[in-house]
Amino acid sequence: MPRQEILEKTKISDRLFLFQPCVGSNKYPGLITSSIEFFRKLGIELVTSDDQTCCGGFLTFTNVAQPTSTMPAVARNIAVAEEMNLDILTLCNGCHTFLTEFSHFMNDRPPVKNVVNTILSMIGREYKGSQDIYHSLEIIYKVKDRIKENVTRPLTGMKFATHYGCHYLNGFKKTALDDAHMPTILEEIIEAMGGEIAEYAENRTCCGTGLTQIIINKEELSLPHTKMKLDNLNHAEPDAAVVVCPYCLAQIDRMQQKLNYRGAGQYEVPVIHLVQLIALALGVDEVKLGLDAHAISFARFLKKFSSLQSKKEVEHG
Amino acid sequence: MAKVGVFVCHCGVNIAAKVDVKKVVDTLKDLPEVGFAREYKFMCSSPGQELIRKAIKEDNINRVVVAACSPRMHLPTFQKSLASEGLNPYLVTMANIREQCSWVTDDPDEATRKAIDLIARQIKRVAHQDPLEDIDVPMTKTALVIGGGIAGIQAALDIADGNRKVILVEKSPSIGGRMAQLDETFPTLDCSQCILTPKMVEAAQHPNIEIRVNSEVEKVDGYVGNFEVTVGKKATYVDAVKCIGCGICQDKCPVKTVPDEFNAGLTIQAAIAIPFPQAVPAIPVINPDYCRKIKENKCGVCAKICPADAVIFDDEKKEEILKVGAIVVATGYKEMDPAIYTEYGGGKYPDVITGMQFERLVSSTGPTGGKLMRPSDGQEPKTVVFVQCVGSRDESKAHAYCSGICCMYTAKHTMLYKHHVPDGQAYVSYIDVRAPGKTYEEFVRRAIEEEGVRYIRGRVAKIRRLQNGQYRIYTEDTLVGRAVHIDADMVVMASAVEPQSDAKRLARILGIAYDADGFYTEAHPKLKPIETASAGVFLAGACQGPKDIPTSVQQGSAAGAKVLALFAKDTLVKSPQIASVDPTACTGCLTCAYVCHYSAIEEKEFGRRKVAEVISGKCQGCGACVATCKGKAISLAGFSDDEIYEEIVSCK
Amino acid sequence: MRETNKEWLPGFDKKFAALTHQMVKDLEKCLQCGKCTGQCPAAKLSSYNPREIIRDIRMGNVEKVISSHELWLCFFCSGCYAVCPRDINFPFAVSMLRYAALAQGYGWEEVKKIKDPYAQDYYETGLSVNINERNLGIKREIAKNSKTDGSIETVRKKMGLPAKRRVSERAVSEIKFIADATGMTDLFKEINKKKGKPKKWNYGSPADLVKIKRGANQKFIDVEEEDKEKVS
Repeated sequence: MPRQEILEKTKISDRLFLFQPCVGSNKYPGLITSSIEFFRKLGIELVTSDDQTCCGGFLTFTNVAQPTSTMPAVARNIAVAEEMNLDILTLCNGCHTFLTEFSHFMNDRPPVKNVVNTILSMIGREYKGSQDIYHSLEIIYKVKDRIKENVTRPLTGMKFATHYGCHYLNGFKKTALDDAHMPTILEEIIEAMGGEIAEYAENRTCCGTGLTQIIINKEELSLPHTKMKLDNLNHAEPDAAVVVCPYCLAQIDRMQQKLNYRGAGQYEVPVIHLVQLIALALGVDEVKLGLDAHAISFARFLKKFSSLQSKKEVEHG
Repeated sequence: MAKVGVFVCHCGVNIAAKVDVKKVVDTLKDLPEVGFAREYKFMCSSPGQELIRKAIKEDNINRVVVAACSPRMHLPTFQKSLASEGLNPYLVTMANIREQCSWVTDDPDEATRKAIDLIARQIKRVAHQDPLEDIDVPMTKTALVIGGGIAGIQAALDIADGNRKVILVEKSPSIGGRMAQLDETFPTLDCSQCILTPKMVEAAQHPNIEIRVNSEVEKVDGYVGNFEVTVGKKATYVDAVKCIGCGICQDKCPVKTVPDEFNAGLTIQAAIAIPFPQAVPAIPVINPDYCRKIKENKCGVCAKICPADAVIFDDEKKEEILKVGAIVVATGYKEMDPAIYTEYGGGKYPDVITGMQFERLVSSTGPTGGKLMRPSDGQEPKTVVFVQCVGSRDESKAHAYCSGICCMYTAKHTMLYKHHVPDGQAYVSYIDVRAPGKTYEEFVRRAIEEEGVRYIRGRVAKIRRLQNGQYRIYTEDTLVGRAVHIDADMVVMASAVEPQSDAKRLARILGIAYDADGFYTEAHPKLKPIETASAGVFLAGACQGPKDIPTSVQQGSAAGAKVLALFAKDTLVKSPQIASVDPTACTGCLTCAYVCHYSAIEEKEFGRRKVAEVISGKCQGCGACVATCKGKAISLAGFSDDEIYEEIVSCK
Repeated sequence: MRETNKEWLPGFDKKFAALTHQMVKDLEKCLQCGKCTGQCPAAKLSSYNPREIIRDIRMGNVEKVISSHELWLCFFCSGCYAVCPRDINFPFAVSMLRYAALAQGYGWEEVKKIKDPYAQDYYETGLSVNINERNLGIKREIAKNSKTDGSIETVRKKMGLPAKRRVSERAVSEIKFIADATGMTDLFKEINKKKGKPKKWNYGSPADLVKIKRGANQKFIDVEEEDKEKVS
């Protein structure tokens, strides 16, 4: 159940700064276009900036850079949005964690903020801490009813398995929009668009990216872990898996290909990010969803989806 | 003419290490009021008190100042010393040269100077003190016990056996409390109802005990020995006198959707129902939120078929005012609702149940007649995991405290489980096993060694429901350092012990304190676990803190003893240090009544006008009225204006 | 291998905070209940055990923890934090411990694997993920699904986007400036220089993994004093 106090604190403006995720832009570009297109249909304009780079925080938790270096880098990115007076919308659990944690750290410690701003002043920027940072789930849940009204291609008849990922719900165990162990907001959003939920036991298990696991141990831990999750997910026989983070998307999508390649099974569950799913339901042109970039094909999913759509048209004459 | 004896205590090294007691005595003995002055190592000891007595006998002192610790520690002791030599006990006062001097001053010279000053002030003050006589207040020698659980029943029985009248007030339709819901009790595995029912029946039949079920305390006025308690009895729609307890009404009632609280929410019952078969009294109650006759004026079958014509649909709530002299609070506990533990399913998994629900499932009077089965599909569970510390020892989500009884009742549950399902496997997930009582440790070992229960040290991280209807429990076996998961058919959570949901409301009505967790506060955690800070109100049982049945029974008897001791005197002796009004000076503005916290001031006629009068029984001597009165018409005995002014003026 | 209290640092609980620059101060609260390990994804696949790491730190067995390979197995899922009844932020502690390990010369081989290509891409393009798809298997799947050559540039063009995401020159130069001014670049060079063979973990008990030299923990005793000077 969503936490009402957090829901109330979420402000919806008609212009938001879209913080483009790296994995999104360079591996799953559909995330960016889907978001921009469907938010436009809801009357919200998403603004991007070429000055925005990788959040930078990820370097800290992989220990290739010290926080003393990455904090100014993160602050620089937030400053870009602040200069436009826009609240920030993140599409990635990782971006959200780093931007939020680092900005809270600086806001709570004025001496640190001053040091960071000294560095930023040398490049003509300033971090104020004046804008809010929202995860896509927070904004989308708040405008859930608006989404429901604008659905033109309902997801009725399609079953979805949800995957919230770790960093948002676990990392913010008391301040996230929903409870870490039995969340319902993603299910509610999907059901508002007409979709059905396929429940499976391991739904709150980590995707397996592990921030560094896939690199450090060459997938020796990551692969069996994701395989275990996929095996359980397949029991529920979903049409697609829905995620809210591009790292989870990359992991669950691409790992299936790797497992298939090693002969570990036949994995063919397509994985879609929530923003792509909403764009689909709201009638955005399928090309813009960028489903071609996914390793697991969406052909069967889209075929079933469009046949259900035409059936509905026939029924309603 | 006042002759003051001054006794300066060393208090071991507590005072003497800082304060130069010899110098203090030498300085003070020259004051005109002082007839005798000396120091001694421990004034509170027997020899110390003997010094005071000797000085009264031989040196003719008629006032005493003891310079030592806080008067809250030993003033009554010194008052007794004076009284034993025939001197009025209110002619002694204490100067606190420990908490207010030696313990808080660094420099010894400063401490000595301060001590001299403090004692000198008390000397001046006590020289002006008049003798005071204790006040006798009449008492009503009837006790009120709130709560009909085992602690309340025990207290009522002990008071009644001591030949005093007891009124036992219980909120639910029957007495028995939590113990009535249990199947078997640890460590003897006695059938709970079998050992409880005789006590319940004894209480019901005792000539000195009056039981009021379906009743709640709504207001308490008065003071120790003279309480006026308003008790509200809710409308039950059944005449308790006419009803013969046959139970036909319950069988014939068409509404069968009322959640059954006695069975911990596992089943439903009819709109008219006896709470459980051994209920005392075994009289059904109609739930007005579900009864069709009361809500829609339909049905009424129970009234038609009742052979004793005992159903009365126009029943109303009744109030009565009881006059009692002492109150015992024994309102017990409730089990925490595990809905906040979303990592364990948040109450949504049907076969993940609480300890009390398990107790009802294995009980022969429970919803399944004692056959242990999974609520979801009625299958017998072959693997059960018992999870400890759900809500206890968890300050992140629920309570930081330990609930005290769960380690024992979980061991008991594993044994009950093995007796019901001999080929089943039980696991217990624990952090520590707390088994402090008599034969408790042996009891737990019996579960492990004789019943084959597997104890895994590790708190459960999460529980997930699997597709095949089983549940996967993720934990770590910390004794070997390996993560494990167990696939089980049923999970029993030892949910935390919490105060009743209306505990705080009742505390405010009674004027007693409660701690941050909602348990009632005793007067002193070590030495006064039964009394509260409010005279005449005593605690017994789990409402004071989580505890097992033997301890609750002990506390019930202890509370009974306190009540009987109170009632053993003919009258209540009250401190004379209370306020009184000089009616000739009083203008009748009654501002004093307005500021009095204890509602102890009333209006009275004095000739042709109205003045204020203090109700001596209620006055606690706080002095608020004295400070408020502009006309100085009200004064406080033992704290007269002359005394206080002398003390202030002599301050250097 | 039996441990002895001669190896454990006395009163280390408070001194430990200095090891992580006073950032981690809540490990004393640990009840050793095991909820963290119970749900840890890495724990069920390896000898990584968050509860044991806290236990070792509290007993002053620091060398064992920071020289271990287990320290680098954390998934950073924060599942431990989500279930902890004392709200101990363990993933943060792991990250700080890794810095402490690097400071003592351990773990450079692991960090080297991340630096190339992610950190390098970040420095040069402002994005830590390169648009070139190195995994040919994945590229083949994408080619099949999109009926193109399988490169993301082509997929982007097909969607009506420019072939590469644009990052302004100003942004890249700002990144470079921050990296140079704050020592990130130097750290990258440092990582490049380090040589060493990556450790292989095994399923054994952590106690067997590392042989501690007698007196190895002694060098941490003065950490607090050194750090006090730095902080003030």
